[in-house]
Amino acid sequence: MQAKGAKFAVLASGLSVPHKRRVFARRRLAGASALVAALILCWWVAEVHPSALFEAGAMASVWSFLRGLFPPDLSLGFLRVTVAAVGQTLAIAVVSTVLSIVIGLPLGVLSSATLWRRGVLHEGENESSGMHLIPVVSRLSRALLGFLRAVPDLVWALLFVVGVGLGSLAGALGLAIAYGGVLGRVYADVFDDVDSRPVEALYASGATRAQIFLRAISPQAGPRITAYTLYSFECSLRAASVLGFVGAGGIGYEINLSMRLFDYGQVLTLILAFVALLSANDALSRFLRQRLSTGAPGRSSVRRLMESALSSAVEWTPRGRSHAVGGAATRIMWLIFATAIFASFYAIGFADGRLFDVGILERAARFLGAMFPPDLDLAFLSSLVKPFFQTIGISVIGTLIGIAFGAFFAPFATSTLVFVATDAAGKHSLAQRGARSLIYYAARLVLTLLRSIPELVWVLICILAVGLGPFAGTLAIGIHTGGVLGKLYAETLEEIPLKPIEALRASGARPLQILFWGMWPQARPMLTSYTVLRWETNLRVSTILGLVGGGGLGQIIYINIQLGFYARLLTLIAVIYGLVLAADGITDRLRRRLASA
Amino acid sequence: MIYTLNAVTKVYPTRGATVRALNGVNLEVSAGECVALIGQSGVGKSTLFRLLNATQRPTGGLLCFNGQEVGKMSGRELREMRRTVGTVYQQHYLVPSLSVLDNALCGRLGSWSLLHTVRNAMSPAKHDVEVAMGVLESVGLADKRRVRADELSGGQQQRLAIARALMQNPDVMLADEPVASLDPALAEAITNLLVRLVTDSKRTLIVSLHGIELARRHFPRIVGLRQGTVAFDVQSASLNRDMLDEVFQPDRPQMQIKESTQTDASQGRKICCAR
Repeated sequence: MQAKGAKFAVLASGLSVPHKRRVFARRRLAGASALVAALILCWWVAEVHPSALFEAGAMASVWSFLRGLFPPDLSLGFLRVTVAAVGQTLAIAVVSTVLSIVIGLPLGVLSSATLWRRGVLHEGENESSGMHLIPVVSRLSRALLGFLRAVPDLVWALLFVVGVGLGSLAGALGLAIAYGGVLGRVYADVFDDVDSRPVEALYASGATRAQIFLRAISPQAGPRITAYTLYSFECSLRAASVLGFVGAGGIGYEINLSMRLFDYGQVLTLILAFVALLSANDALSRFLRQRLSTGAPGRSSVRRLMESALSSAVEWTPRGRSHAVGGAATRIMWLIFATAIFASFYAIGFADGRLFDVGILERAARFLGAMFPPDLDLAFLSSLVKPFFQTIGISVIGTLIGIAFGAFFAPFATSTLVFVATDAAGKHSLAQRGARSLIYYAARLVLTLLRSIPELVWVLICILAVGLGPFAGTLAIGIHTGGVLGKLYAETLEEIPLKPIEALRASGARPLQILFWGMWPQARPMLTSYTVLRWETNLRVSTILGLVGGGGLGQIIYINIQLGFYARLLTLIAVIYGLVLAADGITDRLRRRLASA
Repeated sequence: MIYTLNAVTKVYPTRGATVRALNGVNLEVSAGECVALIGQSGVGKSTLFRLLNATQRPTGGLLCFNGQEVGKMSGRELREMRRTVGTVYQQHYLVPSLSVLDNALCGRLGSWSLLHTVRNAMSPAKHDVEVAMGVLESVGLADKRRVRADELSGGQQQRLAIARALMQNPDVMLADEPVASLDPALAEAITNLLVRLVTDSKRTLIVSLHGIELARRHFPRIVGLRQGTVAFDVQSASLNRDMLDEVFQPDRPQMQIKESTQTDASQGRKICCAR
């Protein structure tokens, strides 16, 4: 019946069909040429000149860099420096995460739509209840979170460096603000995402908002909140590793110093130490996250985490455990946890009263005062046009390079592809299987390397090859993004349903055929979604590459801070905010379009 | 009178069309009564319950609770009214990650201070646990008190939802399709439980049901709803075939009446022609 209806509709629209198709084709052509033009523009403005890579000088300096890396500097004196730097990085990450929770949780609660603006908690209230102002406050809080999030973390750190002075305190505060914005938004989304039916039931029994939040929303939101906070800690750790590039402490300071002193052996030691720290954290948080889904009912997730960390060796059985032992163990875990946090705060310099020093407060106030009013001089604004588009160009071309790298390595890092048909006994010899394993682990290693070295370090390396400027930034983003996307692509390919692939394999398809006919169609929406999201991240990153000589708006920020033109700084922050906001809107629409197409 | 409803309407604004869920309901319920509501899906039973427990406001008409007009209550009075009205939902609306005991304790939130709530969330006060265990005993869940709510079976979850409502020590119990997702034997048992618990303590009970037999067996008064209005309101003994036909007419679309634009209707006709 439906088919007949459709036929009828086609007949009804009659002759207009070919015309429509023609219009559609023309529009498509126009869209494609606009895209090509935009890409050429990006290429040009990002000053991409691949030939620079193959000049003799470039090759020589990259070679001397690579040779200089080995052997890593393992002298006792430098190891001590490395350990201190790693410790400081860790402390910055801990402090900034704690502070970002302190910032994010209240703002997140205030921004939650379920609690303050719409849904079941509002339909039963009479007009007289005097709650007119709260939705406005809630919206403002959400906008504030958006702003905190949109300004890149390194820019926040830089602002604090100018405001409260060089060192890890500035770094920790900067990261706290940036990640407070992220956490607040995520918390609000998680609160709004919980099953609203228990919320309605408690509301119907006469519970207040605070009670509903405590007993219906937070028990449901707990696991996701904890998991995301752990993830945020990991992000802080990565960010803390590059804070030193703007003088805000941590291991980045040492990396920057050693790079500039051409002590590449030290650079390798530092990078290895940092990668080790990241992998340790990765293993720990994966373990904690796995534990998170099990546990006794009604416990707060953090408490459950503490307990599960202890009971790792034995199978977790909430009812079979004696209460006294669990209580003591939990208390010990809490004690360790609290000590670690306290030590971190101490190490960052919260204890020496610097934060409440009158001189520093006065200096911060003067800095803030100097930012207002923002510099809107036409000459200055027009000088921003080129770096503005350069930032966009760097992010676009960088992402394209990243896609190329990622797409090249991903198939080799996909276990379901590399080890195809090894399960059929006798199909492959031992040597063949060994070769395949070698390819697989080599690809994984390359991707991990590309990804765990931060963009800013890549910028320094690329500067060695192609010199200062946007091309170095573009290459750096491309290389790092390649590692990130390669891993995401490989994981996506591994996670798609295997049934259709088995059918293809059964019909004798080879790996490449399986990739294109079995995996690509299934994985495409996820792949494009990841890629578009990554572009948005890269846009944020490309606003700060200039801080170390990678072109774009970051360079202007750096220059104006050096010159003390703080009013211009405020203008620049506003420009970045607008840019990120626009990118947010574009990626949202793009992802929706690509998902439906 | 516990409830007096006079020409109560409820309209939901949706895109393009407004949905009129209730269309002039007149109803009186006095204290201690047991009333069954019957009617097809989408005639506004759930909406009616949401007005009766003050989680939504009527669009028009007059709704009085204990002689007080609900539309003129302050926020505090509304909360007090919600506390005295216990609600059991079809899908029980429990907090999945909390234990049976904690879910039951949630029923008392309306009479706790915030401080007491926080303290009880960490470890419940002895007195509150005793009350909760008494109620869980009466619904037969005392031995499950440590189990997570989402690990219970459907019938157990519904009994827990009843326990939570009883924890409010309510004057009125509302139950919106409490047995619709249960098998017949369980449905009978749960209905029995509800009626017994309520009549023992002389509370008022309003239940919506799909099964006419179930309603006739357990409830002295039956109210039929059709297209957002009361079609009949009789003693269950005098319920007859014609009344049921009127409420459960099979050939007429009884979903919510849509006051949509005319094009909608004409389009519908066009599709018919196309067939």
